[in-house]
Amino acid sequence: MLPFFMRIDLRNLWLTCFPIDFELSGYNTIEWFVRHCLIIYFMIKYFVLSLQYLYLKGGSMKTAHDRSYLKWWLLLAIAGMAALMMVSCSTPVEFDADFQKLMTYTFGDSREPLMVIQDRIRASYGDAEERLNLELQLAELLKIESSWECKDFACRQLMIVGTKKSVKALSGLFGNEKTADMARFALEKINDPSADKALCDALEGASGKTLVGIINSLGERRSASSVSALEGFASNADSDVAKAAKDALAKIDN
Amino acid sequence: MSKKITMGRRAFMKTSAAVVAAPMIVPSTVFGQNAPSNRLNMGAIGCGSMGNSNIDNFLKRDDVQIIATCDVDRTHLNKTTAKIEQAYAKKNGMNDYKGCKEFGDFRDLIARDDIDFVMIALPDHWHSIPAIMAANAKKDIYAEKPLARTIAEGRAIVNAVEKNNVIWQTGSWQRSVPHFRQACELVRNSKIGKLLKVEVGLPTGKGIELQKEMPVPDGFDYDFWLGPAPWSPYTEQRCHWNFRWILDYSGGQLTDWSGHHIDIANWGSGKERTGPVEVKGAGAYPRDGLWDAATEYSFECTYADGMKLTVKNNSDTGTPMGAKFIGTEGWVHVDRRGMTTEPMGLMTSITGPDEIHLYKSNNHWGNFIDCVKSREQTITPPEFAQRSISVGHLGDIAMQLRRPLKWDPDNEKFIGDPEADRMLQRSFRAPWRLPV
Repeated sequence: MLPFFMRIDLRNLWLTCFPIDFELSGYNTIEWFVRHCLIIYFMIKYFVLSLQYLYLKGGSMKTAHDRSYLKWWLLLAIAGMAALMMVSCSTPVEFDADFQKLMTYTFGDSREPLMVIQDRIRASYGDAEERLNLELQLAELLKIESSWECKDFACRQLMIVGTKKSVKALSGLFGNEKTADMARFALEKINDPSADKALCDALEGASGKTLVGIINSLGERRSASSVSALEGFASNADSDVAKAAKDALAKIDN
Repeated sequence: MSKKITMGRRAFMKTSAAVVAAPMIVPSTVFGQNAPSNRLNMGAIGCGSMGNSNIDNFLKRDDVQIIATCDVDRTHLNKTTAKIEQAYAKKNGMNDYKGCKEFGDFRDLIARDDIDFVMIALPDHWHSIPAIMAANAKKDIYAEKPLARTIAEGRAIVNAVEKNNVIWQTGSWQRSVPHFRQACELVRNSKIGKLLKVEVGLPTGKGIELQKEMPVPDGFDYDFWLGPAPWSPYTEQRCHWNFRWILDYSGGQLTDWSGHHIDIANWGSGKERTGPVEVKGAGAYPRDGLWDAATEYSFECTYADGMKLTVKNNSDTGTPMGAKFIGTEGWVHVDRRGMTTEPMGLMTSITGPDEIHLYKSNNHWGNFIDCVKSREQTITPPEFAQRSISVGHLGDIAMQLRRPLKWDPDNEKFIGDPEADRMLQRSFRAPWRLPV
């Protein structure tokens, strides 16, 4: 296997090439810098050249040819960024062999495929790259046609290792009562405002137990950002919904 | 050591009513202290094996009247209610007795004003919600161990009981067996020197083969049985006594027995209001089949004062069942069969008048009833139960995550491990939630 700084992760190329969010990239700071030292070098170089051009009356860019040269390089850099973003967004998650064995799992089957994934998750503590790889595959299981039990397993794992990268996939499970519970179990644990927003967004259009469950989750999260939304439900005609909203507001208030 | 529970609204109302009414009615002494008006009305929530065991103990008492039963399995409910009514008919020399109302929903039972206390003996995943609701309704509570399925739920129970000033007894009945108290007094009074270590041995678990989905039996409200736990297909080996072996509902032999021998370890070592600062260990969890709780386990807790507590399943580990206190000058081992010591002379040692005397109770159910009347604290208040099951939960989390964990026993959070913190509480299936 290639050393980590030589491996190309198309799916995460965008996240890992630009210093927008180390946590989101899934790599620690040192790893990121080793991986991207060349990119950093060129970014700094052209940033300095740009400053010279703009503020130092040319600096080392003394001729029109030099300035044209810089202009084309900047355009190339912008085009490169756009390409990276497109590649990153359009590259689907590929399931590895262990995950492929998981997709058809149903109750009564051997749990061994689940255990293999769980082993990998537990063993990946502190290995950001493997965690990212596993989380993206778990989240992808929620999007594709897979058994209910498979999605249930993915949500149970995301309860422990889910981050904001899983929020969108989890949000897609609010369509029915059973999967909505599973989604909430994981979303409740994700320590990021995007999880509050996903739950708040899901309030609209939800009803019955699903709606009560979402309200309960916002209460458990002590989600201050959802107070105004919850206040609207406190006088709901459905007494279960109204009571849930009042309890959630009381928990947030505490 | 005991703590007076301040009088709650219901107790105040009862006392006030008695004071006002006393001159107008026949004094209770005419009928004796167990006249019907002096009896405590009990509601039994959970009519399975432990529920029935507790009911049998309360049926022996003339000062308790069981007036309501609740279970989601109608077979269990009918059988238990019939047993109670037959017992009262026999006790009163009647051919028939009908005075015990059945409920399928514990909320309806708790809502009855004429119930003084509830006995809760449900699967662990159902411990917190009824307990908190009962406390909020100012009912006194006798509840089975372990305190709760998670550490966060346990803390919520403790808070609710303390906020509402209700009497609580945990079913950790070994505390009311004299030789357990004697062993703990030996340790507390430094008869084995400075306490260095406690070794706890608990039963080994077992797995079961894969199961197929089955139709839910008539009269069994399976959805209610699952309650706050994740939805799963029904199969016979999931429910009733076997809930213990499935992590969605319990933690296997480890958590089932934490409320016994770890409770005794805490009692003897004086760790009833705190917990370890570090925990590490390894467990074996079935990789296949329906049951998934740890079958073998071995973990070590370190306390702030340096004391070690080890917890192991008892087969193949050389750790006998029970709690063994090891000090600088000897040891004490105690289990349900009795006590052994080194030096042997400690066996006959009597706690002197100036030494530490631990809370004395020789009847666990009687201690609860006495405390309901006196408003004193029971021998196993919820804080003690929280600290005994916390050790089991912490060990289980460390074994599941397969790494050593640092624990802050004051704030009940892991130190520097937000991922482990996620395992301190579970989300509830809708519509259930922890009551406010």
